[in-house]
Amino acid sequence: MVSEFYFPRQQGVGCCPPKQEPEIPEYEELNIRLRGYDFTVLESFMKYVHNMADVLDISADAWPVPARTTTVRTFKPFSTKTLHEYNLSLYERVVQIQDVPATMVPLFLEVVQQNLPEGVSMAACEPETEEDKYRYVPDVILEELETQLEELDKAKEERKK
Amino acid sequence: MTQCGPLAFRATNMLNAEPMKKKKKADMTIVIQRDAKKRRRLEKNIRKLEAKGRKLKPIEEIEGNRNMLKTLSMRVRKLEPLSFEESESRALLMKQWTRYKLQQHANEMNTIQTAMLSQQVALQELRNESEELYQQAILIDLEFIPFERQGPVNTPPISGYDVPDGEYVDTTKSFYVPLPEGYKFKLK
Repeated sequence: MVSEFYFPRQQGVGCCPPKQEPEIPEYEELNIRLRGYDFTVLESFMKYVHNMADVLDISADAWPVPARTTTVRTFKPFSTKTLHEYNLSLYERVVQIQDVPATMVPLFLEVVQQNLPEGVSMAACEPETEEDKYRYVPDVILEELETQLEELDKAKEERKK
Repeated sequence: MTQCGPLAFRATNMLNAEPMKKKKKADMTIVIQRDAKKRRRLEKNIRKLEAKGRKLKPIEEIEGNRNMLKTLSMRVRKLEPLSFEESESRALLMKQWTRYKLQQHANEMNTIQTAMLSQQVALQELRNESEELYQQAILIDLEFIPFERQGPVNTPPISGYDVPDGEYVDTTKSFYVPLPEGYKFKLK
């Protein structure tokens, strides 16, 4: 039998302890979006940010986002004939940090910013549905059904008038 | 007397149909009921489709080029095994590098710890001074986010650089496949 003197029984263990309101207000979710043209550097930096969050006791999650590609053409002088053509891919990685105290966020972001490698840009913002949608293949049938639902809504509105 | 030839002239066109009926006005309650039923079915179908899960777009830089993967065996270089001195020096270099990175990490952690500690001390002092100001200080700063920064660049801006004419065309793959003409999804 282990003495309770050395191992005092913890309160609320066994049953679900009620989630306490944190003393310092927290950001629920914050996306740190990293973008760059060199994905090896980007990937390694994503790892760094993720590790840094782990070390600082911030729960974090990371995922890749499909690259955005552009074709860049330069013209010959005084004409629109193509001189050079380049295909550029802008790669993107997102690290999401969750339940971070408001006082911790500026510190953390400053650490990330201080360590930004060459050619990588960062943006910390709240998660957007548009950004999230871009990661997925659009489901045409689902969209079709949703438009039908919207049409029903519209018909309902018109009947009310 | 009977007439045997056709009557060849008519004053007006023949009407082979009844005059148009008046459009029946649909009963409002029935329309509402029908719409409600359709809505329920739509919602159920949407829920089912959503439960299936969405499909992620492929990440090309991670998946790699498939044609290239097939020729992987051709691409392996046959290298001579390293000499003892070389492998030894490499191992030593690796150790040195690890030590350097460890020191760097320790320094970084130290800096962060110091910053966190001084922040806590400052907040505590502020709290001793005035509770109200402290409460203001720990609030979420709405103007802080979005926080956008650019990393360093390879070269400083070249002065007097003559920008060539050109264009940028967005060629991002959209993955959008429209439904075939006249396709109708059967509601279950």
